[in-house]
Amino acid sequence: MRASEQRERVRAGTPLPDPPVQHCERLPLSFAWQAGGLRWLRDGGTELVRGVAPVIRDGEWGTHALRSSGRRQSHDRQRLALMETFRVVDEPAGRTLLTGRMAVTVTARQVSVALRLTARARFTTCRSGLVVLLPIAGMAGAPVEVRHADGPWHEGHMPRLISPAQPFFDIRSLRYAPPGHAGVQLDFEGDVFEMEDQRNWSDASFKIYNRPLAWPTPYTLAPGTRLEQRVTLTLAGAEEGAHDH
Amino acid sequence: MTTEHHTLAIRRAWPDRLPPIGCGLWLDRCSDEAGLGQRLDQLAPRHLDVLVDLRDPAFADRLAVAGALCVARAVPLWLYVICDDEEPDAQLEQLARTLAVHRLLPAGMLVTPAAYLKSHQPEGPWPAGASPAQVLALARLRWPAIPLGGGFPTYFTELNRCRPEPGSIDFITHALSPIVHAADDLSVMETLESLPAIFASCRALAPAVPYRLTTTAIGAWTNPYGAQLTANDGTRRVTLSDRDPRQRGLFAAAWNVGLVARTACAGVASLTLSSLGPPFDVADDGPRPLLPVLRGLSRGAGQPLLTTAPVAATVAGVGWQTGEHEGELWLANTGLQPISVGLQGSAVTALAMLDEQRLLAAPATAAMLDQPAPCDTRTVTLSPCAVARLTVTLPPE
Repeated sequence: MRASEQRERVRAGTPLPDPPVQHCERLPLSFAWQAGGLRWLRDGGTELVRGVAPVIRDGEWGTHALRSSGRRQSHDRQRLALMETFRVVDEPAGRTLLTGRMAVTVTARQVSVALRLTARARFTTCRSGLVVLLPIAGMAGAPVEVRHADGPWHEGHMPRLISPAQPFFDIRSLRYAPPGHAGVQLDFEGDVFEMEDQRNWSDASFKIYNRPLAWPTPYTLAPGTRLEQRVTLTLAGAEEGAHDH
Repeated sequence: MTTEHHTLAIRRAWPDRLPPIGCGLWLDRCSDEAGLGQRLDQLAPRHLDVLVDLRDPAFADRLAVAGALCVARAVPLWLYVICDDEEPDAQLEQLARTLAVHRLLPAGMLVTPAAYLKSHQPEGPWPAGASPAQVLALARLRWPAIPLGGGFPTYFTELNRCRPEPGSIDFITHALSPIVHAADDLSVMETLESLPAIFASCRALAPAVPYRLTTTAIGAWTNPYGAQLTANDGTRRVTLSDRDPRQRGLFAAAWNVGLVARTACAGVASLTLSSLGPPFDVADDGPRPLLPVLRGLSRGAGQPLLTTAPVAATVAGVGWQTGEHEGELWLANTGLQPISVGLQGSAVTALAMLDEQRLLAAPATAAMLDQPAPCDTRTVTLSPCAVARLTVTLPPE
């Protein structure tokens, strides 16, 4: 066993390391990139989003590990682009069940995250799609604005004490302002999204996820099924129509 | 790797005291009597939370064994009872007989109908059999003198979704699992950040009764959301597994110090960490790094609490006053990069370190942190997931 594996075994109880974490920035925005997802999206020193990742649950609400099959990164003066492709396999047989592609584009005012999933076999899942995590600090109890499929904006509050039920349903767009920040807007496409108070499970976040919990689970994706979902984060003050993906 | 520096102030949190720390025991998974006694001696837990599944015919004999070991060591016995939801009273009768025959007097008891080990949405539908309120009433008739709790032996979610009548219970309780939704190292450590919200939310459900955090570890002993746990050979970081590798590593030692630090100042009356035997064993083929840490922290039960400020994601500190100007302080690096910690106005006069280097040289032992070595410093460097036991001077109030 190599020295690094020995250290990992002593520290984490296994010689297998976690996927590496890469720091990325397109100032003033920065984030960490790990296993096809982004963590700690910040504007300067302000955390806007705790994480955005593809999350593929199995039929028992367990979570499939994503096997990275490739990564591309490019940047110019305007933008940073990251793409990671991955597979979900049935352990331990190793047969590919699902393939996916995460594409992230970051400009000075906007972050766009697009997920494409393709079922390569009959795939049973409780949920497969994009998950957006909002931080607890500064967000618990804070005012937010939500736009549903019906159009107008509604004012609401994030729960202060942990809510047993979903605080918001049918989220097309969400606006909020972390302390000391002008605010952000999240726009969701590709499925019906709702929010869960994930602090219930000792997660350090509020979670916005696709496919309402009220719909039956598990469900099955037929081979060849393709899903496309997107979330776009825009800093307040960025002009309407300035979507640059 | 860069070393992040923290400057911490040690605070006397008087009148708060360090809550007692106990350990869990799964009767249906523990058949090793000698090993159980040995672990009880090594850990010296302040109480034992025993999961008693009345559907398992072996429960009576095993409860007698575990109970006798606890009585011999004056370790209070708390029973977390699972009963059949169709015939709860017949099963509680069997439990009553067992307790009477072996003269066991539990310090408290929670009774959960088996169907409620699964999670149900707050608006229902609820299982058809006996409800938690109904089995509580049955237990109350049978054991009028024993404190009876509300809550669940699973996670806060189940309690928050199915809330007890606060006037009907003598304590409120739940466990935590940091690997329900995400199992990477960063997410697991980040769960510590959610704890103040959990404690405040649970307190609000029953403000007048003691709050017991029951057996919590890096793992999940049951899956309330599906039919079974995620298969794990013990090497993989996967959600909803009872064989998480980090429970066997230094990682668990640091995470537990972080947990105690966040719990101690939150009005939690007692906490129960890891188990004697599976699934969250503090020792299997030898003591795990967690064991000397829990053994050390258990000693501080009831002592005047010391906390550190400010609260940060990558460092945790908790301890207790040992004299007017002296304290025992436990520090953990709850991040994945090295840190150095300076203590404002305090000097470190003795130190015992639990880190990768020490564990690479020799495996953990129960007593390895019992004798801090004298030193004279104001800064302590901790590698990722390292835990240090310090003797510190306290500045005048």
